[in-house]
Amino acid sequence: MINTMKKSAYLFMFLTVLFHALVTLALAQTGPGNILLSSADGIISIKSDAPLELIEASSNQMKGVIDITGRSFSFSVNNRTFKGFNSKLQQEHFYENYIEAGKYPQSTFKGKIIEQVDLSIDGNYQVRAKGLLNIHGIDQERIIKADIKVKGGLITVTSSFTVPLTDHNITIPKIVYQKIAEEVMVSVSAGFTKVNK
Amino acid sequence: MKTASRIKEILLLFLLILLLFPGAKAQFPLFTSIAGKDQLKNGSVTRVLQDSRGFIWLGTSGGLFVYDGFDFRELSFSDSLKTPGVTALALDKSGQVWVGFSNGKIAHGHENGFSFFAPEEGLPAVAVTSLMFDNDSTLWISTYGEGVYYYRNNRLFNINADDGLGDNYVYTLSGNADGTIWAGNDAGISICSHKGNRKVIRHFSTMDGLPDIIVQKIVPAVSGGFWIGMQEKGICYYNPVSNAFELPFSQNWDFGPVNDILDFGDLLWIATEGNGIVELSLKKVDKESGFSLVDGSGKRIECLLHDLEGNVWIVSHGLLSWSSGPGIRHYKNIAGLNLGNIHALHAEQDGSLYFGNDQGFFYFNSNEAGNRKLKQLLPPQSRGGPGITSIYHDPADNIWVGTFGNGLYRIDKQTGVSKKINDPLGRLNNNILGISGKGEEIWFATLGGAARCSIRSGSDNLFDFDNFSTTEGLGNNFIYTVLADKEGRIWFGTDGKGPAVYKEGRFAGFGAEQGMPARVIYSITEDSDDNIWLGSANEGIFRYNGSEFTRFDLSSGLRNLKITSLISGNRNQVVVVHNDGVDLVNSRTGQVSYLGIEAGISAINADLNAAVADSSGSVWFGTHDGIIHYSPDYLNAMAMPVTSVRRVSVYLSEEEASPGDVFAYNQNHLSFEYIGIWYNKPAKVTYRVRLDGHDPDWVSTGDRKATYSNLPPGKYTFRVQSSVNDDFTYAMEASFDFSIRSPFYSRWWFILAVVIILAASAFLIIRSRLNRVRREQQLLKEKAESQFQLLRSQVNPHFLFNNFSTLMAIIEEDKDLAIEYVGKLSAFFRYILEYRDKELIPLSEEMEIVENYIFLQKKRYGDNLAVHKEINPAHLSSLIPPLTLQLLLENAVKHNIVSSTRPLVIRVFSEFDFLVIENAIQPRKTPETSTGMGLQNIKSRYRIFTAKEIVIEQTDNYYKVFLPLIFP
Repeated sequence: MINTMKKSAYLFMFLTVLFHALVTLALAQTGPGNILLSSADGIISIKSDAPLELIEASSNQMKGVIDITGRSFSFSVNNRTFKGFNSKLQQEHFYENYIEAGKYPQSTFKGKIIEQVDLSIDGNYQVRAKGLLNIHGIDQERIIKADIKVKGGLITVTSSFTVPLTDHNITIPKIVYQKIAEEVMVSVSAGFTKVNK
Repeated sequence: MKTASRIKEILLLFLLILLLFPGAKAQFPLFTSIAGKDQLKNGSVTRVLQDSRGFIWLGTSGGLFVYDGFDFRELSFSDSLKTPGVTALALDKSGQVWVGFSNGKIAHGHENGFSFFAPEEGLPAVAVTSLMFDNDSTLWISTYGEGVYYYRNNRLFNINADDGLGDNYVYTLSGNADGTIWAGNDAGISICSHKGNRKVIRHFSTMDGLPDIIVQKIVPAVSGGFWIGMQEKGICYYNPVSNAFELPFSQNWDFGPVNDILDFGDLLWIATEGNGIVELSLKKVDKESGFSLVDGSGKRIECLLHDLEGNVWIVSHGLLSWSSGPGIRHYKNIAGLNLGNIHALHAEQDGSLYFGNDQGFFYFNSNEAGNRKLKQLLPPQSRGGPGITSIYHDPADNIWVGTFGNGLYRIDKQTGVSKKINDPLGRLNNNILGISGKGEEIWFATLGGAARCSIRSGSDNLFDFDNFSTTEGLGNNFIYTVLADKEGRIWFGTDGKGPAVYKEGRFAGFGAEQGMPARVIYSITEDSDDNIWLGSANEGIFRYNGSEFTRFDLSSGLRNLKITSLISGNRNQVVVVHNDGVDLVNSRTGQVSYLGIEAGISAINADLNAAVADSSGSVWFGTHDGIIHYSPDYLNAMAMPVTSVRRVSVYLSEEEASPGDVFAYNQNHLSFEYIGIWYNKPAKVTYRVRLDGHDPDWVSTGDRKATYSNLPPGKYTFRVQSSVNDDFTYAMEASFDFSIRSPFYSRWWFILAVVIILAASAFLIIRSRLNRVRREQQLLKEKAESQFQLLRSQVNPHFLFNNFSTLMAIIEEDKDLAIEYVGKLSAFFRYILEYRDKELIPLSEEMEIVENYIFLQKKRYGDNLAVHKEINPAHLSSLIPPLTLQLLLENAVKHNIVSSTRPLVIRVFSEFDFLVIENAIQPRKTPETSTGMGLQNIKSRYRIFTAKEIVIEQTDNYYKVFLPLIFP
């Protein structure tokens, strides 16, 4: 019993690392004439591939807003919407011990696209998004690569990136440290449609 | 006055010339084209960098090239067919080259391969304009449109206008001593740093005193602070003490945008977009005359590089050229005067110059304005002859000018008025080759001995001269040079009698007995350590340290022994002029180097002693075609080639070897490629190599590759040194350690294993031998024992007594039976005798003995003894030690009661592979004494013949002996 608990503890820790998604926030810097697109059911999945355990979880409730005119964006996800853990216990550990969802209910990423791309024109764009990634209450400035597909007013954003646990003060007990990946791989996919003002 | 009108004419002529050539430039370094479009595959050079091993890296519009003085080699980048244009080059602390491209990519590597930099965050999508590493080895990247990036803890961060950067179009980066990075952009200078995860950005614009808002180049200044090159306002200096921007000049900048700046300490070379290289002297107090254009460098200068040898590489219009920089300047004409053959010159403290050529004697002062720069002080002296031969500036501010055949002149420095010196007593010869002096005294070297006068001894143009010739103790009347040293000694170079010195009123000469073999001395100079250096007509140069002479000749590295001039310059350099150019000797170490052909100095065909050092220690010398000015401060002319091992390869292997590699015993064919980088004259570099562990001594070679084959196993160090001459004392060495393993059959562990195995098997063999011998001895002993026992048991008196009793009983009753009985008894004993020496007999024969024995016993016990035999007939051919069964039967009879009430039944039968003798146990009341020897004896005999043991099974009722069957 104790063994199982330890194991799941490790898993949770891994998981913690993973989630990071982003919260819809009201976009700052949005002018009156700016074109906004939003997404209500983006998918974010996290994965920790430690030597001993593979932990995966995902949420389909990531929210996002992109301001095409200002090339700014904001994403957020409720940390409690991550599902798909190996066990209930693992999920519990993830929520309470690592991501501390009670204290920090949301993970967010907001910023601006570096490239001067015009997302009102159909096409595939590889861009870098520069912004602040907030997980576990800690802000980290990040540049994250993303693929943007624009077609007929619909924008699909996909991206994957890694989040080092230490960047966000998510600590792993010494005993289990070896068995936990220090980085969590995050992948994001969301479709955006125009906001009707 | 004829002379006066002639002077006027000439002056007028010069005025005309000056008017005709108003923009004539005074001086220029020699620029040599190094690479055109052909060598660089039609690419235009964009960036140039030198790495720590001396290689020159060229970024072009179509790729990256490395130059070693011989060849341009293109580097390939794996993931693209066409390499994009190189827009930035940098060197990291480990010596790796980093390359930024016009498409935002970044690669890093070295001569033997590059790989792309691929951070998770991706790379800029716009051109990389510069790369640099700060004090913490953090990589900084500036881009054209995306601001600045830095790479820290494996994470790429961006600083752009949103973060407070002045502008996203950044041209240049430079690191400050305080760890901040200065980024020049279209809005001024943004100063970036990071504190933990926080970016700190400060901005300087015109509001902060920056003269221009567009900053294209920021270069650390030698004196601290920065030089800042701007779009419109030229350059300015950031003074870190006053924290302010200063203009180092007051005149208007009208040379256009600044692309690059080289700081030589007291001199700047500024690369401009449309006006070539602009030189700015920082020494000159007068800012008005600060700028001068450096001729011959091209119009648009993209970038400049000051290399390890002090040379300057120039990228102009996409082409690469090379020069010795401000270290060597050629003056072919001055203020419109074509200099031609220079016979004598003298440099003043303020940088002005006196010189004599075929057109007369002149004074040149570049600080003067316009046509006052050049003044003619004397007309030409003689057509075709050397004319002016010597110049001296005395403490009373007179310039003394000696001529060849035309006597002596004295010119008032202030007024420029010249007077020919009259010598009424004729003590001064008209051919004056040298003038020197100290204090009031002036000494003259002439073709009529030495002469002396005091500057106060005469007035106007009348002077009293003392003449010293052979009669006064001077060795010879032909004196080529004179030098008054710091100690007050006067040195003379004579023709035929070597050097002489005048000290405390007496002359002394130096000959072979003092270690001075040279007889004709042309030049004498004194270095900063008070050594006297003497140049000879044929035998090289000599250093006199006050007690002994040291000679420098071809073996020391001099290229020519016919010395024309010898001058002591700064940086401990003695400059040696001869017809092959200029050699340099370090006055302290004796190291010899030279200014190469590439520096534009060869076959300069200079006049005797037409050379002089100025007060700053830079050296001027006259040639057949003008004046050359050599400043040791700007040129690292004594630099030895930078030696490095480029590539080590094992025969038939594609892999490049690394230092410390261990090769297999059959990988013992190695090639070493090495180079000594010396751009002055790459082909002149000579090498010597040595493979420690193989070569007993150095091997000299001109090759840049050494190959060794069939190297025996061992540890080796390949060493290579390179030199500009045959002297390797000061050469830089490169080395490469490696070792070759022994083959497995001569490695210690294999030998050890073999020894152990051999020893172990020898031990085992000896032991088994010993065992066998011991066992054989044992068997022999046992056999003897058993035979003895057998005999003893069978000839046991009790047995005989019993038999005889039985015989007695039947002898009367049945005579025939008695005879049969005796027959059986004797047969029994015959068997014993017959078989006692045999080891094994067939069971059938044993059974015959047993039958006899049973017959004998039966006669005694009658029906009380029964022996049942149920032997498998197949077993009758098996073997058995003789008398075994008999003994067992005898034992059974001996130990058990045999009576009518308790008859004894003995069964002999086959069971599996055993012969079993079984009897019931009915012990006697008075047991016969038993030694147990009988059974023991059987057991040991069996052990000899079979691995199977005799089994004895004893219950309360039965006693069973299992004899294993022995088959032949």
